[in-house]
Amino acid sequence: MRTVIAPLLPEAEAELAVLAPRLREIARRYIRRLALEPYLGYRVQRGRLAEEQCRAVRFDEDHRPGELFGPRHRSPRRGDQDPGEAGPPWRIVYWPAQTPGRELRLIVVLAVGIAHPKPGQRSAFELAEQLLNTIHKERR
Amino acid sequence: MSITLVRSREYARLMSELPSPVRSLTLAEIETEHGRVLAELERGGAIRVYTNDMEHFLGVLTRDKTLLDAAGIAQLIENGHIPPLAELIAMDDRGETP
Repeated sequence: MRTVIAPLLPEAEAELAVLAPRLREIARRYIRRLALEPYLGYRVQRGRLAEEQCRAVRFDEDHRPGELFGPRHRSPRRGDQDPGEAGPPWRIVYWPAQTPGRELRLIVVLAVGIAHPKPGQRSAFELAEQLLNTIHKERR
Repeated sequence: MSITLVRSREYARLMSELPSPVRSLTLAEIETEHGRVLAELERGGAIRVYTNDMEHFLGVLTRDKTLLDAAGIAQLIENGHIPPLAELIAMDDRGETP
């Protein structure tokens, strides 16, 4: 089955644009890697994104997304650590889907952003949910 | 080692590709019972959906992955968020996708 990454939606492009250059490049490499490993990300477990079977890739500025067979990154966090304080803070939230004949798998990137932002900021998951609402309810 | 006993009728249901459980509900009933409906759909069930006056059969509510994906992709294309699939594949061939 062929996997195609859908052209990034303007919202996702804008989120990438505000990242630091190194972080932006890592995010882009992870997005490209999804063409090889479409289920690289973990299943989102809660809320609307879970119902839509979305996934998320964790990443940080010390990651090397091009190393498919290299050493794994250290454990994201210990069980007693707060998710907002340990582990890779950034997420790429995406929706993988297959065409009925299963000849094509499509990856749609919904958001690139921080997982546990400070008060007043929106998380990658909130941004992804907002974009889902937009693309499924509004006709451009 | 653990052993799980599955009764023959339940085994037949699990091995079948038919949705189960299946119920017929009106839109209002779905709204009232949406928690239960969602749970049933997640378990592989389906709901035959009727208008509130039961005069019209609207269709089948399902979380069948094939249908979910097809509807999602189609809507993205119809709403102009992604190009039609043939064009998308051509773009990918030309290296124009991310």
